Formats: sequence, C-alpha cells, structure tokens
Amino acid sequence: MKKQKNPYKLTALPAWAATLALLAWLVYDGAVKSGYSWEWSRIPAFFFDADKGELGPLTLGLGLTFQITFWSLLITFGLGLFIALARLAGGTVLSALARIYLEVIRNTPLLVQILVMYSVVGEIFSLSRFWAAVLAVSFFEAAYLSEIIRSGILAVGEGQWQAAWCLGLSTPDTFRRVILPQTGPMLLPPLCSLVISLIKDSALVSVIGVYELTKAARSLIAKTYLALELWLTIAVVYLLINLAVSELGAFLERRLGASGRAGRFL
Amino acid sequence: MTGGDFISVERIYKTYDSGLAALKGVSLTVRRGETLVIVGPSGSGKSTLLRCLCGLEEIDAGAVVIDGQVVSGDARLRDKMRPELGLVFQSFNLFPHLTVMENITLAPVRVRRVKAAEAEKAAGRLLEKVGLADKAGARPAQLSGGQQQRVAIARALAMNPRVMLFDEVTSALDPEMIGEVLAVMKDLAAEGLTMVVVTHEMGFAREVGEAVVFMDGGEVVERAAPAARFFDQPATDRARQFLEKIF
Amino acid sequence: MNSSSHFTPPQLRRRAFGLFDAAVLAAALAAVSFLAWQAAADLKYGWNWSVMPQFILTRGADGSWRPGALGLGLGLTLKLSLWIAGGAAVLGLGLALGRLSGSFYWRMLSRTAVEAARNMPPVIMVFIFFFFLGSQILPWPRLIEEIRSLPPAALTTLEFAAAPSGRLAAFMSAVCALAYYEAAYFSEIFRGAVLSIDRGQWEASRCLGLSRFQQYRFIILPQAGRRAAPQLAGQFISVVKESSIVSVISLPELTFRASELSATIHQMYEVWLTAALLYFICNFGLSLLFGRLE
Repeated sequence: MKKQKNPYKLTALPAWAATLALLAWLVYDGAVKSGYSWEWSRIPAFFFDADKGELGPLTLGLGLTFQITFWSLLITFGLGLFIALARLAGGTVLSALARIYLEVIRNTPLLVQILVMYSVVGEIFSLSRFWAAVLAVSFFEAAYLSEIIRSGILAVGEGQWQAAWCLGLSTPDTFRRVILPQTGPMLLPPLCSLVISLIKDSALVSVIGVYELTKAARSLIAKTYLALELWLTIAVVYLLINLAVSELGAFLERRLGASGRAGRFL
Repeated sequence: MTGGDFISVERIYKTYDSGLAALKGVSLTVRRGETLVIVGPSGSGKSTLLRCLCGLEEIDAGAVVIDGQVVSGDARLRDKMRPELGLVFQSFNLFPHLTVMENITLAPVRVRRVKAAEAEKAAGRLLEKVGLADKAGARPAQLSGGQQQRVAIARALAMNPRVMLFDEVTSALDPEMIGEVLAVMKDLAAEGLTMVVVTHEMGFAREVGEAVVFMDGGEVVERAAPAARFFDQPATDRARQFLEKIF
Repeated sequence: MNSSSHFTPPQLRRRAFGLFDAAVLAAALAAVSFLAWQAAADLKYGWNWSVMPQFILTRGADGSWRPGALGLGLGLTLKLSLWIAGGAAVLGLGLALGRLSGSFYWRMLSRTAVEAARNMPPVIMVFIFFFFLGSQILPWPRLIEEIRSLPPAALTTLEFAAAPSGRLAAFMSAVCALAYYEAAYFSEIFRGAVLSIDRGQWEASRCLGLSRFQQYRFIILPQAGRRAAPQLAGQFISVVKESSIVSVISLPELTFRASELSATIHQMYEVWLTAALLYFICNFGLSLLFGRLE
C-alpha cells in the first residue's frame, strides 16, 4: 500500500529474474536427480515437423483451441446478452427461467457441465464432441457474462431511461438505440477476461476427447513419455497466449478511450 | 387563446417505497393553450407531479385525465399518450452517443415512423427556432449546458406534443445561460403551446405564467390566475412565507 | 429533486402475468417434456431413478447407514475443498502481502506468481504438480513407505482427514496445484480488502508507534478480514466447483465417481444428473448458509 521510492529498484529487477531462474533450475535439477532425462530437443518437432513439412500435433491442437474459443465467444456473447435482457425486461416467467439457468450454471462445476452436455444432451441430439464442448463452455460463460452485461445496463443513468420513455420510444428501441450503445464500451475489459477464461476452459474439454492443445499433449505424453517437457511447454504456450490477449485488451481500451467515446453522461 | 380543460388531475396520491409521501391528494387542471407555472419549496412534490403526468411514476390513487381520456388506469392508453406530453429534464438527459441531429430525429423516426429526410428537415427548423442551427452535427459533450438544454427542448418538440412539461429546466445551469433557455420558453408560451413549468425562476413565472399553482408538502396550497396576483397578493400564509424567503 | 433513491426505469418495471408469460411457460414445459421423452426413447428401459439413492447412501446388513459411491465421492470433494481453501487462503494472504509490500522485488515476485496462476488452465497445473510431485521426485516413494508403516490408528485418521494412503500422492499434488491456483484469487480478494481500508487507519497506527507487522496484525488485517468475508465465502464455493478438475488424475471425488458409475451401470443419464444435483445442492446450500451468516 505504501509505494515508497525504493532506492533498490535497479537491483530488484535482476534479483527477480535471478529468483525465477533459480526456480527453473530447481525444477530442472530436481527432475534430473530423480532419474528423469530431459529431452527438450524433441519438442519443436511437435510444433512443426521440418522433415515432413507439416504442422505438428501441438500446433493442430492449438488450432482447435482457437476454434473452440472463437465459436464459444460468439455463442457466449449472444446468449449472455439474451439472458441479461430476459432477466431485466423479459416478464415474470422468462426472467424466472433465466434466474434458474443462472443458479444451476453457477452452482455446478464446469467439468460436470461438459460431461453432462456430452453424455446426456449430446446423446439425445447426436452432437459432435466439438459442438458439445463449445455449447457447454458457452452456456457456462454466458451465465457470468450476462451478469456483467446486466450491471452494465443498470449502470446507465436513469435519466436516459426517462428521456427515452417520455419521447415515446418502445422498450426494444430504448434498449437498441439508447441503452446498449452506452453499455458497449464498458464491456471491453470483461470481454477480454472472457476470452482468457474461454481459453482456459478449452483445456478442460480434453476430457471428452476433443483434440485441442491439452489433449494433444496428453496423447503425445502417452506415446513419448516426455511428460515434463510437454506439460511445461504447453503451460508456457497458454501463458503467452493469455498475456497477449490481456495486452491486446489493454491496448484497445487505450485506443477507445483516446478517441472520445460516449463516456459518462449527466 | 385558452380553451377547455386539457389536463385534469384528480386527487392523486403517491407514496414512494421509502415511505415518503410525495403527493397527498393533489388536484389541478390545465387549460388548453395555458402556461401553468408550479412553484414551491424543495420536496413539495412538484417534480413528482410532472412525472406522474407522463407515466414515469405510478400513482397510488386518484385519476389523471388527458384530453378527456382517463389515462391513469390504462397502461396501453398511457403508452399511446406518452409522446403527447413532452418532458424536459433538469439534467437534460441528452443521448451522449448520438449527435444533436440524431438526438432530435430518433423518436420521430422510430415512434411516428417519419422518414429520415423529413425528420431531419423538421429538426433543422426546430434547431433554428432554439438558435442552434449550426450545431446539428455536434455531440452533447461539446455543447454548453444552456445549449444542451435548448437541444433537449427541440428534441421534445420534435414529437409535436400537445403539452410541454418543464421540470426545473434552468436549475442546473450557470446563471449566464439561464436567459437563453427562458427566452425559448417565452417564445413557446407566446405561440399558444400548452405548458406546465416547474421553476424557481420567479421573474419568469410572473412574466410568462398565466396561472400559478403553489405546492407545499405534497399538496396544492393555492392557485392563482393571472400569475401576478399570486406574487402581489398571496392568499395563504404559507405562500406568503414562501415568497418572503425568496424575495 | 424528488426522485427516490431506488428508481426503477418504467421500462424495467415488473409487469403482471400476461399472455407472453403464459406462452413462454408453455414453451418451456413443452421443451422439458420433449427432452425427457426423447431421452427415455434413447434409454433402452426408459428412465429409472430408483437405482440412484443407493449410490449416495446405503443401508448395510447391520442397519447402519454407509455412503455409496457418489456419497464417498462427495465426501472426498468436500475434504479436498477444505484443504485447498485452507492452503489457498494462507498462500493467498502471503501473496497479497507481497503485492502490497514496500519492496519492489517482493511486489514483482508476487505479481508474477499471481499472473502465472491466473493465466494458466488449472488442469495443466494439476497435471504438472501430479507428475512432478506424484511420481518423479525421489524422496516421495520413501515418504509413501513411511506413511504405510504408520500405526493403524494414525492411518485411519489420515484416511479420514485426507485420502487413503494409496492415493495420498495424488491427493497432495491435487491440493497443492489447486491451492496455488486459487491462492491467486484469494490474494486479489485480500489485496482489495486491505486497499479499501481508509488511509487514516494506517496513519493513526503509525503515529502510535506500531511497526508494519503490528499494524497489519492488530489494525489492518482484522478489518480487511471482515470486509473480505463475503467474497471469501463465494470463493470457497468456487473451490468446491474447481475440485472436480482433479478427476483427471483419477482421484475418486464426486466427478470421477460419477464417470466410473456411468460407465458401469445402465442409467447413465440418471447418474450424471444426480451428480450435478449433488453439486448443486451442496453449493446452493452453502451460498444460502453464507448469505444467512452475513
């Protein structure tokens, strides 16, 4: 809390780097001491096989991770918006149903939802693994997003609702032309965390056999026994992707802020 | 100039959930073409009355009759009547993400299904009337308070309401900008528009108002016409005390 | 201004039950019935819920109640959650203090630890910890032998508190992995709570001569703790949900048991819906309880 001007700031950065290096060495050495033989040289081939000139299983897995994230993002956004509107202006029954949906989703684990979607709903409707995964993840995240959208809508000043009412605008028009455009800019930071959550959730769908990055790694480990190298590698991959998304989000926020967006009103 | 009763409010009661009783049996009438001014101390229920008229607040008892139709019980009728009562707010409430032109044309296009080109022409005329013809492409944030309020008036007028309601529209303005807004309102009154004005601007009330209603504590204490009579010879003690505090 | 503090815009006000509501209700009921009927058509013998209760609780021959497979799973889930939450709270507090520290070094280190946990899928962490701690480190096998040679009384206590000795390695790596993952979230809660404490508290206690440690111990943390309580309760519920992830390393908590069971018996749909229901009752109950305690 007290951010004193630390005279040792210059030495702190190398010290921090040194600490991390020490941790990495401990991990490396610890494994070696217990009989593990590190074979890092084999890892790059799993990304790109230079000999055969084709993408390795990890890259293919990563591609599927992105696909899952992309489709989930679309469905989550649409569904989240629908649920938020249902809760706010949907009438007695619809908002009650939305509420039930929210409570069910928020009180059960994502993994169970994925498995239920795959074993139960997927069986009934003959969904592919991919789409069962996308739908499960979307339904899950949409619950949380809808709450964020709902608070965003309620944060729009009451004067806006009143002005729209007195001008005679219908409720759908009020939402579409007055309220939601003002909620939009507020949604960028949560959208950024949503993407990161989706990427993390996608790792979980490996349990139903979708060949995204985590499943690809598990298969490779089963074949090659390069467990530590592979786990650490894809951990770093996830880390880098998510950090990149955070940075992109921060960048977009700054760009939007500078161009004088709608912002606060009276 | 003034015709039959256009708005009739019959013994309406309104209590907020917090327990605050804002309106206790208020009755009044507004004649067609009349400019009615409502004055009174803060918390007397003046704003609540206006908001009950256009349906922003629900009344607990009593009746609101507009142009002969009982509006208070019938939600659908009230919805139809909404654009007939234009309300201008103390805090302007312009839509910040739209330009001035878009603010004014939004409702006519979406509610009255006026074609965009026509609506823009009409909006242009209104902007001229309030003296802001050159600001059509500006955003509310770029305008001063007085300019924003004039745009708000134009926006409400764009729906051709039969009554204009003004809720302390100059109370949030810096003194040098009050005049420009009052000037617009004076013009509108002179044109014969039916207006109900809640205000603290006593000079305006006296000069432009055709009738004055004095409210205190959620009740109508006194009604006087013409306006000058209220200011010169208040009939009740409470009105006298109120005026003494002001002048 | 006469507006009440709790103004609901007229567009959002509750309307009476109308035609639209009735239509939605009818559509919802129709959809649910259709789903149930379609599912029954897929199941060879139709829905059969009667087999489920025995997997939660059974009555043994001697009349005593014993937990069934799902009941045992739920028990392990709760045990895991308690250990994970405990570890995460302690570690989270440490990370929060690190992020609030005056030293740039500690702030950076804590920040790195928190960001790493927040940007990685928890499954990966569970796998890494499991592989690293579970089977590769030399000291562990010796530790496992030591544990196996404990007196029976100690063994049963251990089993009750945590897991049977055979699964202890998996149990511990699961707890460590998720405790670290959750610690990142706990640290944000603690940090926010401490930052929300009025500056005056810091200044007054400083003037009284308290050291930084004493400030934290007697003034800041007690207040921060009280402010953080509702969020901490919510985070515990998240922990219960995240615990399902450890099923990937075959720890027999509720999700794993449900997978096993659904592969074994015929009533796959009933198993999964029951498992989901158990989680729901547990978490919803907890959130009601916490709400009551506030």
